[in-house]
Amino acid sequence: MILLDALSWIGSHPAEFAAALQQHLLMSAISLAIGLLIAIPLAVLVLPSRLGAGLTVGLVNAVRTIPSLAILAAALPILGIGIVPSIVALVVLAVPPILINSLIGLREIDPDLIDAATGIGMRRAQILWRIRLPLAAPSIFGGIRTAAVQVIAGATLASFIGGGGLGDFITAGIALMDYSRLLVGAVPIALLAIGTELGMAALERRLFLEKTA
Amino acid sequence: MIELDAVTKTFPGAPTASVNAVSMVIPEGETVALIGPSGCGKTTTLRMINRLIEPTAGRIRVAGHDVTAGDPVTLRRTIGYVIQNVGLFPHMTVAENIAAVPRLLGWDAKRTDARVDEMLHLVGLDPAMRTRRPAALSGGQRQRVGVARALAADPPVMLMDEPFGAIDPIARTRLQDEFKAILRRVRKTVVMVTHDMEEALRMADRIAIMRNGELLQFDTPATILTSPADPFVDAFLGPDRAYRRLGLLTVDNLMTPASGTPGPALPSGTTLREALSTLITARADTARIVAPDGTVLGDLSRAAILAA
Repeated sequence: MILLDALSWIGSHPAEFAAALQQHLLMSAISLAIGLLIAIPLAVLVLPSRLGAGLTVGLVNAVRTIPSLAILAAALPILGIGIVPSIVALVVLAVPPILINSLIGLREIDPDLIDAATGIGMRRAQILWRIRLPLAAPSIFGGIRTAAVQVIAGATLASFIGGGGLGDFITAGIALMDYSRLLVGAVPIALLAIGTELGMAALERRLFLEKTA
Repeated sequence: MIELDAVTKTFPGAPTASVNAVSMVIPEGETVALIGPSGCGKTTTLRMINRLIEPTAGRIRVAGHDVTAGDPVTLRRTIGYVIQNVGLFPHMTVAENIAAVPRLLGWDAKRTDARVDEMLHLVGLDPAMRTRRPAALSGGQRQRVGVARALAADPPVMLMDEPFGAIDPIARTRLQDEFKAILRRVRKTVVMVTHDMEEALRMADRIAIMRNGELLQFDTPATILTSPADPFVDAFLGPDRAYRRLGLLTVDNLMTPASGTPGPALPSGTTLREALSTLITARADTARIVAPDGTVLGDLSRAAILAA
């Protein structure tokens, strides 16, 4: 029943719903893109040093334990309200899985391959682009998949600091004690998260499974 | 030609040198096997030639050029490199693996393509293998691709680190013979590391025996087998070194004119080691040496082998 109410609400407010959905997706996509741009180069940068990699992983894991809401709260006095602090918080959410998976993928390459690549005359950058990154791609992609799901789910919280998105319906629903309104936000977010997970898993299989066989 | 002149390597923190003042001259077109117990410095010596390890002291010259002068990456592109676990890039096809060095050297697609085909033919692989990935190949096929990759840019020098270590024993002998023929045909100067004396005797023109970073003896297989330089080399060769030496000589060396005596037939080119084994098994004193077309070339007596 409440679900039907939620659907009929969407039917009567298509523009509002579409705007929130668009804001949610845009926020997630930008955060994920920035997360990628930070995490992968950072992984490459700390890769040569065992100490650097260890410190980075430790730091990232420490940051990961901070609840997203706390990061939002901390961003609030510095960055104010709106989409920018929301994106900052989501980037913090996106970086750890991508960084850790990239580091593992780049590091766990058979040392014989690196020896062979060096021995036939590849430079460090060539080994990175032609050997390490392609071989680490499945692992990096796995990190992106985890990050994407976390960011889409996490973007719900942006509503608390005026970032918009589908979370607005949840906060409104709670404020108005209107459960059907709450579902207008909750159900699409859940579907988006599940859809992203399944879609990226399928893409991962297509991209990488047949190649290794 | 490769010259090692008092080459020494001491790793940081190590109490003694891993390679201590090793000197040798490897003539052009020859195959040298570096052999010795593990930790003797053979792999370190090999890896100093293409500067995967930098020597602490001494000079290494390849074709007269000091390898320690200039850019190590440029140097490595002129030296073929084959390792035990092959090190084929799993995300690339066979053709892409073979084309790796030509690509680094900036060859155009047409020339690279033609070279890939030439290399596949040289190492005895079907051109249909081009698009396969390494995971779809047998161990022997992978090692053939490994050698094709090393030879693709036609380097004058090849370094091989236990190239047959990952190959099963039956395929190994055949691959050793084939690679020896290929390397001879393309006239490469080859340095290989092995721990297998049989392999060294089968493949190498000269053998360098090392222990604790020292070069104990550097000689032809026949000289090493007949006159080991010291008790360690003697022990390393094993009690059957005389028997092994027979593996270096062929029946054609000791053949006498055919007398019509019955006996087992041995193809021309058989080693004395196999010939003796055949004679013992057949309980015969004389074998007949036959040409590939079946004509009898001569006789070989058991006494002649024992006197060799």
